[in-house]
Formats: sequence, structure tokens, C-alpha cells
Amino acid sequence: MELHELPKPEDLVKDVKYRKLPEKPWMQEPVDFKPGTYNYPALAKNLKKVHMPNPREWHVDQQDWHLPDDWQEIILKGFKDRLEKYRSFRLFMDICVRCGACADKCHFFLGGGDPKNMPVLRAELIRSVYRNDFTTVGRLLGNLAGGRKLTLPVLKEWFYYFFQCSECRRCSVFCPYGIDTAEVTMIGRELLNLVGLNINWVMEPVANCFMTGNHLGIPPHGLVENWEFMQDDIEEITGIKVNLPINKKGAEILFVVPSGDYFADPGSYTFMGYLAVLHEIGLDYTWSTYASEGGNFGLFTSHEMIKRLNAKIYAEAKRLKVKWILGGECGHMWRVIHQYMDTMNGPADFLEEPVSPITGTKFENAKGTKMVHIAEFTSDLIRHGKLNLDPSRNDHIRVTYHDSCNPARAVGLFEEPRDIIRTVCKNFYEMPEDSIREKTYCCAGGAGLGNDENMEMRMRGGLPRANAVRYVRDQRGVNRLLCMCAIDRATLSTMMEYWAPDVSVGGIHELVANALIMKGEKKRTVDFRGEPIPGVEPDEEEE
Amino acid sequence: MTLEKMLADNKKTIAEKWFQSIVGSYPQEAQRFFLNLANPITNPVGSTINRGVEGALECLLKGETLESAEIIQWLDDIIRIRAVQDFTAARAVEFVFDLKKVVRKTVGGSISNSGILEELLTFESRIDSLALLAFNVYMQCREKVYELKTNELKRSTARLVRSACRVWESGERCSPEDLKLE
Repeated sequence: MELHELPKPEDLVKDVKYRKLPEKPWMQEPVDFKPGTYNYPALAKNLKKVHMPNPREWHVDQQDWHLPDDWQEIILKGFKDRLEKYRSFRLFMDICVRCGACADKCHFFLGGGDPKNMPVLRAELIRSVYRNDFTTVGRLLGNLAGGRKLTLPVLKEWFYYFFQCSECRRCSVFCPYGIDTAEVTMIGRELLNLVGLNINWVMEPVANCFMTGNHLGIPPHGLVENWEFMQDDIEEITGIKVNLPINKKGAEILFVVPSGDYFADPGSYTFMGYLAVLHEIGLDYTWSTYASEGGNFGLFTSHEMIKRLNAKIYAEAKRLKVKWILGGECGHMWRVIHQYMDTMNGPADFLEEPVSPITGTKFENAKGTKMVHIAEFTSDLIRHGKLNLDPSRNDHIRVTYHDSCNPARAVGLFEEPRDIIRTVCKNFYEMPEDSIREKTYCCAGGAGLGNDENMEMRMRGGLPRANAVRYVRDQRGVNRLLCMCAIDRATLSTMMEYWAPDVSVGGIHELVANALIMKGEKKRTVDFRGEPIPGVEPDEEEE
Repeated sequence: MTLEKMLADNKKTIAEKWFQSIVGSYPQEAQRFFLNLANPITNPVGSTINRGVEGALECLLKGETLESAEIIQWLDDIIRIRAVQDFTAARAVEFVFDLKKVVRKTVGGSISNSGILEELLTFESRIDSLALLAFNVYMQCREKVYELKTNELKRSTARLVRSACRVWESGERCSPEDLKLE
């Protein structure tokens, strides 16, 4: 290019678009609680059951939230305690440089566009109070130093946005400082709990879990009946009456799964899948009517509540005198097990280092917790050729796999589920790279947000995941979204119904059970959903 | 020069401006993210709206009947997103009318005779009809949201209901006393 052809400075300047600042600073924008975007408050009866403060009836859309008179002091004291107790929390308050790497990583921001759902800004809601009350610069300069007082509108903003974070930790993958924004949310929720600001979709499972051992509040005889119904269903499909060992003392292994799969479709098919596989290999294991829940909504309440609700797993393992524990396809359960159980309720020195009795594989990764993930267990069975499989029974299913947030980001389980899926199903297609493995997008229903009053917000948050599913549906004809989490199975089903209607949702062990050739089974004409397997005709007498 | 030719020549500019005006309805801080179309997977809102805008405009310019499945699908892609976002019904479908402004701004200056002006009015009335279809799509999406809640509830208790039915069919029924609630 000749010199005279170069653009002149004034031509260049013409195209520069200076970004205007928002008309009102974010700190002065109060929250507008619109139906469909917030969660209903916890009922007093549920708070009372677990001795949580300030049980009362209140409504989000009313002005008066019936807080204790000294609510500010309570929160600031709680804040101080936690800064002293959790060094990570103090670090997360101090070290963010607001680089913006996390800004466009939250599914709620990507699907809705609310800037306060940028992880950096969501954390700033609490960080601004930290600066104002706990740093010298903030105390002296207040707003000038990015600080603000803890007022009622600020508290309401906390309630709105900390219950708009599903604690999926996608943002933390991108933070160059390693700030775990989910942990900021966790502390934010703990502080809100101190003055009785909690949501019912968290506190009801917590209270039920505390009273009966599972989220749904099912008593032991109810569980047994439910499990026996599944046993009958399997018999109808396969002709085999599978083992159903319950509270069996001296069994080698205790099996703990999320209760979300007991009554809800499509989770129930995954549950039936476990029963079929564990029967077929002849495992000496037991279910427990007390440790009847792997999920732990304490994770969405407080650290103390995590510990209280998790304690039953080791207690039951001890009572039943098992050697080690196996855990089902659950999401946040695995974050609790992998990151908290050992130090909170361990050491589990009364248990043995897990060894698969079928293959002899030692699960060294579970040396501390003594608890193995069923995906690790089953992929090991497959690797050793211990399962007789006919993947063609899944030929009518074209699958993609959603890395459920916690097994992926908190535990690092990427390959085992894929190994299993590839073996039991010929048609497996990955979603685009930015939406899988550690970068997986959340279902937007985790951390207690998967309720129906919050539906619009869930649909916004679920858009990035659903968008990637639509891509493989359109490009590869995918018709089944697999996942490894009970909340996923429930909420992604709804998500797909809105965003990608031709895609059903299910767990991995449902597909394993479909493909599993069981000894003495009858001719399989239907899959584990009871739906006909295309191309397989029932025998005449069966008709 | 006919309006059809003018619109076809400026299709790309019109689509771009229409897309930008839709993105302009989002909070300022979100706009720059939604405008970045480099990766459709990490920017589902922006890329879906952009695709929808291009597709709908193409259909309009081809002179397709407005009830064609293709144009409704493009509208659906955009409105399905806006129906669950922070918009009132009017704001959610307002973008269809924005196309009129964009077209006038882009080619309005070149309209030199009354023949083309008449064509423009005809084109604009097609946009009005498109807006009416947009209301249909919006309502379908909103109805779906309520349906989702019902279906989710049904799924969450599916096995409980099946179990109850099986007990009923097996004849092992509870006595009325057993069914008394607390």
C-alpha cells in the first residue's frame, strides 16, 4: 500500500466507538423481583426441623421480609467469623483484579444477559460489603474504594443473585487466580441463612433428609415398596428377578444413590439399570433405608449442614459392617464425597481400601473416602470383559453426553462415563468442545434452583447447554442426552422439552442395562423404558 | 431500480443493522458479548438471533408466504429466547417492527419515485403481518413454559402413580381408615 493510500487519523477515529458507561452505577440498581426468576422462601416448619434461625412465614414480593431487628449485626458478625475461619474466602475477597475472564462464562449471564450474573459482579455484591466493613481503605474511602454499606436493598440483591448461581463452578475454570465463585455463593448463602433467608427447594430436602435420610422424606417401608416395584418392572422386561439386598449386615459393599431416581422418570430407569448390573455380576452389596440419599442439599445451605447430612453414610457403613461404599450417578453428592466427606466425617478407618471383588482392581483414588463412583466401577468391569453386552439393543438411540458439573469439575470424571457409553452404544456423538468436559454448561437447576417457580430463569440458564444439544441433534440426529446426575435427569428433561423437543434424557446405567445380556433372560423386546426395541418382534405366544 | 433489487443489494447491511437493533434491547454490558459472533456455542443468544434475522429476512425477500414453516421457524428461534428473558410481551416481539426502521434507514434515501414508495408500503405491511405471527409464536412459547411445569410435576411422581395404580389393580387396596391423613 502506498503511503498516500493509508487512512488518515480522522478516518480511523470515525469508527472508534467509545463504550458508554451505564447510566446508573450497578450499586444503585435495586432488584426487581419478577415472577419466574426467583425462588419461594423456606417454610418455617422446615427451618424448625433443623433448628435454623428465624423460622416464619414471609414472601419475596412483599416489602417486609420479617428480619430480626439486628440483622445487620448478625450478618456482619457471621461475615467476620467466616473470614477468620476460611482462608480461601478471605483470599477470594481480596485477590480478584476484575480482569473479566469469568464474565461471559456463567450460563445465567449467557442466556439472560443480566450483568449481575457475570460471576465477577455476582461476587462483587458481597465483596463491596467486605471492602466497606473489613478493609482499611474501604472504611476510610467507602464508595470511592468500591465499598458499600450493607443495607436492606443490598441484602435483597444477595438473596436474588446467590439463588441465581447454581454453584456449577464453570467460571472458576477460567479464573487466572483460581477464585472459586461457587464458594463465594456458598458463603453468601450461609450469611443469608443466619437471618432466615433461605429457599424452600433447598430447605425441604434438607429437613426431609435430616428426619428420614432422603430428600423426599420416604420412610423405610416406602423405600422398600418402591424398590420392589422396580424389581418387578425389571422382571417384566428381562424375565429375571434381580437381587434386592436391603440393610444386609456384613455385605461387602454399601450402595448409595440419589433419591431423585426413586420416583421420577427418567431417573428411575437408571436406578433399574443399577439393579440389573449389580445382580448380573453377583455383587455382595446392600441398599440402606437410612443412608437412602447420596444427595446433600446441605451443600447449598452451610458447611455445618453438609456435615450433618453426610454423616449418615459412614454411620450406616459402620452399622452394616461393610468393607467399602459404592455411589451412584449423582452430581453434587460427588462434590461432597470428594471434597468434604473425608475431612468432615472421616477418617473412615473402619473401612477398607476399595477393591472390586469382581476384577480385583484397587481403587487407589478412593483410598481416603473409601467410596467409589459407579462409573469407575462399571468401566472397570467392562475393561475386564466382565459384562456380556449387546450394544445393538441401543441402536435406536443416538446419544450425546452432558458432563454433569460436579462429577466433571469437582471429581474429574471425564473418561469413565465415555468408556461405558462407547461400549454399550454404537451411536455416540460429542457436543462441541466448549460445552463439554471441564467446560460443560450447567443444567441451571442445581444448587436448589430446579423448582417450577423459577422456570424462566432455568430456561435462560439452560440455553447454552441446550444450544449445544441442538447442534448435535441437527448435525448428527442425536435423540438422547445422557448425564450422570439425578438433578440433570429431572431438569434437563424439562430443558429439552422447551429448547430441543426431540431429545430425551437419561442416565448411563439405563443404557448399560439395555445392552446387558443377563444369564437366563427372556428375549428382550422392550428396553428399560418399556419401549419396543425397533426390529425385534415379540414371540407369538408372548403376543 | 425496484425496491426488491435495492433490498437484495443491501441484504447484508439490513440484516446486520436489524441484528444490532435487537441486541440493543439487552443491558449495555451484555451487548458486547452478544455481538461477538465468533463462536455460536459460547454465545447462544447472539448467534441464534443473528441466524434467525438472516433467515427471516431471506424468506421475506424471497417473497415466501408468511405462513411458511421456514419463516416461522426463524421467528421461533428468536422469540423462544426472548419469551423467557426479562421482556414484556410487547418488548419481546417489538424487534419485528424494528425491521421497518432499518429498511427505511438503509434504502429510504434512495427511494426516488412513487412506484418504489408503493412497493415499500407493501413490504412494510408484510412486516406487520410478520409481527402478528410473532405474537402467535410468543404465545406458544409462554404456554409451553406453563406446560413444562405441569409435565415436570408429572414426571417427578410418575413411578408413585404407576405403583399406586398397580396396587389398585392387584386388589390389595387400603381401607378408608388407612387413607386417613394426619
